[in-house]
Formats: sequence, C-alpha cells, structure tokens
Amino acid sequence: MRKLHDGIEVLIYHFLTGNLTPEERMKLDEWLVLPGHADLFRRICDKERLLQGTLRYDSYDKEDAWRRLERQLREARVTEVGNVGRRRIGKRWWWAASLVVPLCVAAWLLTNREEKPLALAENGRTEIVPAMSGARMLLPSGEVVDLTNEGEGDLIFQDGKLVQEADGVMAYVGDTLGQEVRYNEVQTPRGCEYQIKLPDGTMVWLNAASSLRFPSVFAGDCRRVYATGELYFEVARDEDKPFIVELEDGYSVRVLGTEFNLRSYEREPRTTTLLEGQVRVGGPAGQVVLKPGQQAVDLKDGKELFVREVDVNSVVAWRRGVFLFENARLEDIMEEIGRWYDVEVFFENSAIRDERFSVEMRRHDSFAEVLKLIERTGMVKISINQNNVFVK
Amino acid sequence: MEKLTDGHIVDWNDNTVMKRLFERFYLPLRSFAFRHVGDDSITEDFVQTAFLNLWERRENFRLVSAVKGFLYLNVRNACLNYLKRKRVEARHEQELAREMSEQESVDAALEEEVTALVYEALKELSEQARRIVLQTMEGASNAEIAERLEISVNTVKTLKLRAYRILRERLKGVQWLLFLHLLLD
Repeated sequence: MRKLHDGIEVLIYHFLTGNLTPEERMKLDEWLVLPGHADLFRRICDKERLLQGTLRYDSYDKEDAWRRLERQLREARVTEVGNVGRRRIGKRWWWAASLVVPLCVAAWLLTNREEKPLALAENGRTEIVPAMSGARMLLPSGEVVDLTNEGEGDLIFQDGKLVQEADGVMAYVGDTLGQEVRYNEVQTPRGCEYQIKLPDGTMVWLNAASSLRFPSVFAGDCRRVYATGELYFEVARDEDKPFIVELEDGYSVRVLGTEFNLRSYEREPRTTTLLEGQVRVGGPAGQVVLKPGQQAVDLKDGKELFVREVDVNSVVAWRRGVFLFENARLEDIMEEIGRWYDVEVFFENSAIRDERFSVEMRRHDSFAEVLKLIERTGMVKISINQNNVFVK
Repeated sequence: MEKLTDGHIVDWNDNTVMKRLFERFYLPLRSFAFRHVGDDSITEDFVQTAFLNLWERRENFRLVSAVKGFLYLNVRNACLNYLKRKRVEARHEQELAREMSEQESVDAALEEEVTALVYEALKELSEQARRIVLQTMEGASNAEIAERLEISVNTVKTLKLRAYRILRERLKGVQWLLFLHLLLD
C-alpha cells in the first residue's frame, strides 16, 4: 500500500476545531494542491459523513474486543517465553529451513502399531530407554545417596531415618528430637522420576530434572520446602501449618491441604495448576488465588501473573505415565521428551519447530517407538547419534 | 494515558503499550475494514488478527507511524483476501463490495484517522444527541425526530441545545458554525 497521508489528519482535525496555526495552514495548503486532495478534504469534512462515522464507531464493542485480544496476546506470550530462551541456547544448531513444510497440520497419533520402518541412522545403535524411577538424595551430613527403587533391602539411613517402602515410594521419617532444622534434597536427573513422602505425610512426585529441598522436620508455624522442575503435590492437611513451596525469583505457592502441580523448568513459563482445594500463588508479579481447574501462569518477566482455565488431565498426565500433548508445538514436545529420555534434540529444519501435533503416548514406551509415532506423520525425519536426536 | 502520536517511539517493554495502541487504532480500523467489505460481521477478526500480527513482529517497528501503516495495510490485505475468496465461492450470485484501489484505501485511512479524532472530541455528546444532529441535517423537524426516536419534543430540544454547545466548543471550524445555527431554530 502506498504511504499513508501521515500527519494530515491532525491538520484537518485542527481545521475542524478551528485551531489551525499559520504553519499548519501552510502545510495543509501544500497538501491540498496535490491532485485529488481537495476532493478528499471536502469529503472528509462533510459534517453528515463525519457524524455518521462516529455513529458507526459507537456500534463497535471495543471493551469486549480488547478482552479477547488480551487473552490472545497472553497466549502468544506464553509461547514466546519458551521460544526466546530456547533460541538463545541452541542458536548454532538452527540452520535455515530448506524444506517446505505444509502449514498447521495436526495429526492424531495413537499408540497402535502400524509398522513403518523408522529411518534411524545406522550408528544410532544406542538403546535409549525411558526414564526410570530413581533419584539421588543429599543428606544434611553432606552425604549423597543414590535412590533407585530397584534397590533391594531396607534403606534406612543414618540421621534422617530414611525408610524404603513398597512400590518405589520412599518415606521420610523426620527426626523429631527438635534439633536445628536441617535440609535434605532429592534430585531427579534427566531421565528419572521419583516419589517421596515427607515427614508430614505429604506426597510429592518429582518429574525428570527436578528437585525438592525439605527439612528433616517441619518445625515452626509453616511447612516450607524449595523446588525446581516439575512436581506434583498431595499436601497432607494441617490447618495450623500452611505448606509453602518456594521457587526461584521469590515465587511461592501457599496451601493448607490440597493437590496441585507445579512446573518451573528453565526457558518456559512457570505454572501452578490446582486440582483440589485452594492455593495462593505469589511472586514478584503479584498474587493470585486459584480454584480447582485453574492454572496460574507466570511469564517470569516480573510483570505478569495471570490465571487461565486448563484441562487438568493433560497437565498431570505425566503422573499417570502418559505424555499428552494437544495441538502443541513440535519443539515443546521434543523438549519434554528429551527431558524424559535424557537426549538432546536438535532441529535441522527450524521451520518444523512450530508445527503443531496432538500426541498421546505412554511414557514407558521405548524411545524408538515414540519416534516412530512422530515420524509416521510423514512430516519429519528423525535420526539418532548417541544421545543426540536430529529432527528435520 | 499519554497520547500516541505519529512521531512517538513505541516502548514494547511497556506493559500498557498494546492497550494504548488498541485504544488509539481499534475503532478507525474496524470502520476502515467496513468500508472495504461493507459487512461488519467479519471485520472484528481482521482487526484482532492485525494486532496479533503486530505483536509478533513488534521488533520491526519503532515509531507509531510505522505501526499505523502496518495495521492499516494488514487489515486491508485481510479485506481483499476475504473479497477474493467470497468472489470465488459466490460466483457473482452475491453483491460484493468493489475492491478498493490502493489510493482509495490510503484515502479511507486518512478519513478514519480524522473521524477517530472527532469521535474523541465528541465523546461527551451521547449517541442519541449525535443522531438528532444528523437527522436535523437531513431536514427532519423536531416532531419527526421525537417520533422516530420515541422521545418527547422537549427532550429533542434539550439534546439539540446541548449538542449545539458541545459542537460549538469542540468543533469551531468555520464550516460547522454556519450549520450550528440551524440547531437552534
């Protein structure tokens, strides 16, 4: 489109309001002598036309439109937070797209077996296995203990009285002798998950690449723990001692007794999703109280913390041993999968990062199965070299 | 809120900036789109999308005037695409707006920009009062207007007087003054 008549609207407006300065009049006159402008000017200044124009403006619901736009802008920002961070990290890997990829194809990938050979590189022999139940624990003494549910025998540790229970759940029985509060930390590396029962009976599920720091005994008037990554909490009810999860950046979630999912990985928005009860989420951007089914989204820019309704089932699908993505970007899917299978994912065709897929698969399928599913859409080629996965 | 004039540099880190751009451009863009397609039921999406596109590409724009150019162009393209699609579907069965030339679009944008300023200036004047002024221009008597709007003749007179005062104060350009006396007859 040609250049707009920039600045002329103010001149015409001042003409209409009788506020035209001598310089403005000169500018307007200069504009008016150009071909077609005099007619346009007369048309615009037509009183009837102007008033009709304002009446048309009245018929538009600006407030409603803003609310809609605001929502869409937020969603756009949620996606951006992830993208920006990721671009920073992986820049050198993202060479330009050479393939033309059809836009916006969503594919429903189901876990049924309709085999089609997977084009895995010949040197991609490394067996990549799904995350195992496993973690390591840093004891107050500074000792590091490997926790694998496979491990047989009674895992009773010194000091904190660590007891191995059935089904890979570790119960932590605190030292109640009222000494100074000392902290333990459970860490799950990439490719591992873990469950732990805290001294107050609270159950915590740690997804891959997550951590939880908690005291050997909950002294004082609240139960305070520190977390990173993605964790699911079933907090034991205790009206007198609120349960507080602290994350980085002064972000915290405060509850009495409830179930919620907390997700705070690097390079993506921080979310708290409530399943039951009530929680108060607070950070530099303010505070919100959640109702079941709601999710607090923190864009980590210190400015905004907002609430949206979500499908709780897909948020906590990881706990049921399922990956569930609905209309999610391939890059987000691969990032999540990479964390689980402990592989690094590289996109050789960056256009494909934004393709959207809906995927449901079992987290304990072998990695090859999972890749097969994604390849079956015919839109991507995946090759593996050691623990690196290349998508193009 | 500070007014966003053409030469203003847009600070994309400012949390309120999208709201302010929306306040400034939403109504004129809607009306601009209407002029292109002659149907208001579909123009809302065109304008929403233009703002979203702006947000995605915000790094490319520093001045309000650049933002303005982008928004008008974006809405125009959406309108033309819509008309093209419709034309294929309808195969001339349907009366469709004629496609505006570039020059016509540029002129229409200017008209909307002026209308937006006038709209701001006349905010205090109710929709009904503006309707009455319009009908007076069209030659309707007080009694006719009263009947059409289902209000009393006295109300019509009161609203006219109010309209006269505001128009005289806000839009005292010569062309208006001649007409304004009509309102008082």
